[in-house]
Amino acid sequence: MAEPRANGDDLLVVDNLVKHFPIPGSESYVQACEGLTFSLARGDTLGIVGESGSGKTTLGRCVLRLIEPTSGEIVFDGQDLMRLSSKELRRVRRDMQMVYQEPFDSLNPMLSIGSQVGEPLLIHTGLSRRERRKRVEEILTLVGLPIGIADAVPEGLSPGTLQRCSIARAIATEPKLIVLDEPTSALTPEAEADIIRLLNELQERLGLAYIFISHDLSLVREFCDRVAVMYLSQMVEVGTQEELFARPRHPYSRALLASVLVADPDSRRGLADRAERLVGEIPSPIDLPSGCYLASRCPYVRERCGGEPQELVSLGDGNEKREQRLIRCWRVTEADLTDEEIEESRRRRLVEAEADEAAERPESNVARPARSSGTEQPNHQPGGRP
Amino acid sequence: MALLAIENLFVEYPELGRVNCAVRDASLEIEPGEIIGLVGESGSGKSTLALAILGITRGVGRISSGSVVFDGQELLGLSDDEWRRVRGSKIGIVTQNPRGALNPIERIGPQIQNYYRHHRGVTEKEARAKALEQLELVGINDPERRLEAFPHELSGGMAQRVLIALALSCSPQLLIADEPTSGLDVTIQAQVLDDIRRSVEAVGSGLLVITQDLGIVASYCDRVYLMHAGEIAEVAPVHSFFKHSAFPGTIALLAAQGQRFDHERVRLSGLPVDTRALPDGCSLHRRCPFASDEAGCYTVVPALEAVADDHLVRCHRAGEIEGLALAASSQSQSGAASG
Repeated sequence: MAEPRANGDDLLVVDNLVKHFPIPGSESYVQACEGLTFSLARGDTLGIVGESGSGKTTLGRCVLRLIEPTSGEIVFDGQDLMRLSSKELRRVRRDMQMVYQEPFDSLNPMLSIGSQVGEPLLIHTGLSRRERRKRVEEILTLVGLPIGIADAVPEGLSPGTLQRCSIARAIATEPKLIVLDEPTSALTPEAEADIIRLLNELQERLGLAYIFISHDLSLVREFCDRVAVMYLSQMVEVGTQEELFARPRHPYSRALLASVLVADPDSRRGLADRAERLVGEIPSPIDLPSGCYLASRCPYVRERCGGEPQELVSLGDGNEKREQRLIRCWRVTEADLTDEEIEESRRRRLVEAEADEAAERPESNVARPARSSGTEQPNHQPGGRP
Repeated sequence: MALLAIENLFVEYPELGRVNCAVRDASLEIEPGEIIGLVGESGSGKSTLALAILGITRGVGRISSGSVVFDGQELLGLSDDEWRRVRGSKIGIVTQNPRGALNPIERIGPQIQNYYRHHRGVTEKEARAKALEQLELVGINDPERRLEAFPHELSGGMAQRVLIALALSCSPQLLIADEPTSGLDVTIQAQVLDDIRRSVEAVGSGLLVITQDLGIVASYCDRVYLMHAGEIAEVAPVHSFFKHSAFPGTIALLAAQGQRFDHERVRLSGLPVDTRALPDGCSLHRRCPFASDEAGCYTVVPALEAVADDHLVRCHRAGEIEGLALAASSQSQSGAASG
């Protein structure tokens, strides 16, 4: 496989992880994760991005063995998770925790916050009732909540506060890894910014490693060290946050990043971004094509793409493993896809998009203000508005 | 003449012993062909205001005063029959939860066809052709097959597009889209928004987009209305809204999304204001980092006043707020650099 095996820094090494969900009453299955190979260093953050149904959440759950992977190897902190009995697994679980998307649904409405934050301590430590109470108060303070909230029940607390409670529960046993599954998507923008800052602080103080699952690309850009882009159960591109966002290489990553809406009227998405967009429908995860899964939608497709499964291959541009760029596209890794071809293809699609636009817009609306002039520029230049 | 002109609209919810005024003195205009963003925290009254355009209030709520003039016609006070000719036909709405808005036990095709036939009185065959055309317009592949699908067989993005196809089938002069893409993935979000924009442009309709996503506002809207605690607090062309923001709530929102200001220094403290128990003076003053006694924030209710052409703000310190916020943000940056 592309990525080298464990070294001392790695907290988590996953090799060729596969998860199939069988469909009752038939031979077929849903392929949720396929050939996932990656590692996570201590104190690092790996972002997992991709559309819903691409396997992000299944990845997070498989890594913690909350659901049983179909095959593959997971080495966490030097222990082979797949070989552990459920009793041994329980012991390891104190070191790996999870925070879910919906804070209200992931807390018990009948129990006090204090007892829920303290429950992992009850299970994993021999602390007395009084010691646990003291520890719960320390943890609540650490996540920026008043101690008094320990006696409250979830009802009536804001989503942002509840998510802090979930985080408090996750860090109670001083874990080494937390899987964050869309931890802020139920929150308002302000509460989201607060939670992200809290997670950053906790990481610095406690040396936590995170797997951060999100479909919000700007959040991932802000928060993660390394990023993996998933498409239909596979990782199609892995790289450092800086490089992947500055220069996405896989055709799918390019399309994904071109879809992001920036909160700045000077960088309005124009026709150029629309030209980058994929067409056609996503194949069914029950009946995947034999070659590259993107082949039916890819603007750079070649005959070879449909015939052979693609491997995740290193571009070999990073010296250190952490900086490596991995791509699942032979045209990129074998340097077959040139910048000229991309530019040429973009230009062609831009012309098509413009023609579409002109055909769809009746005469009376051609002189619409503001929008049209920004969209005709091939790149987002600042100051695109008149 | 404006396509839609809301003036001094009040929406009230009577509660035990008091009245909760969820929308207060709201005025909003949409020109033909204009795309308007309506933003604000949850609970600020965005959706209540949008529904009031269609004469709808939730539960015991009622529109207590004000006027809604659409295409020269006063809507408030219409009879049920008259409303039926406006709702869906002239003003369409795309709601937040597409699956909740579609009938779960009827196939997609008949839902669109019946809607269209009701408003346009065409034959079944024409309605089916229209349904096909609409599904194609919003980018649904294989529309023939989709007409036979039940809502639960569609993905979230697909259901959202069906709802948009439905709302656009009668070519309404105004489309209200309440968080039209909140449950969708980014690549689909961009497609759906482009579809909506293209469709309203094609007929020259107005579009009111309710959203919390400033990316959508920046990318699609011509003008922006920001609501706070039931009132319109800032109105500006999209460029001014982002580049010359003058309402503390707007600045806090921009900061939270990593724009221009330091989130830590300009944030609003505490919980959203309860419209049932409004404080004296400015409704924001307990949460605002820039509230001051001299300016009158604690005692005098601010009016919506112009700070520039087309740019209205409800803040006593509107003129200086951006400078204060930028100064506060740069302080923290230099502090961080030296620390």
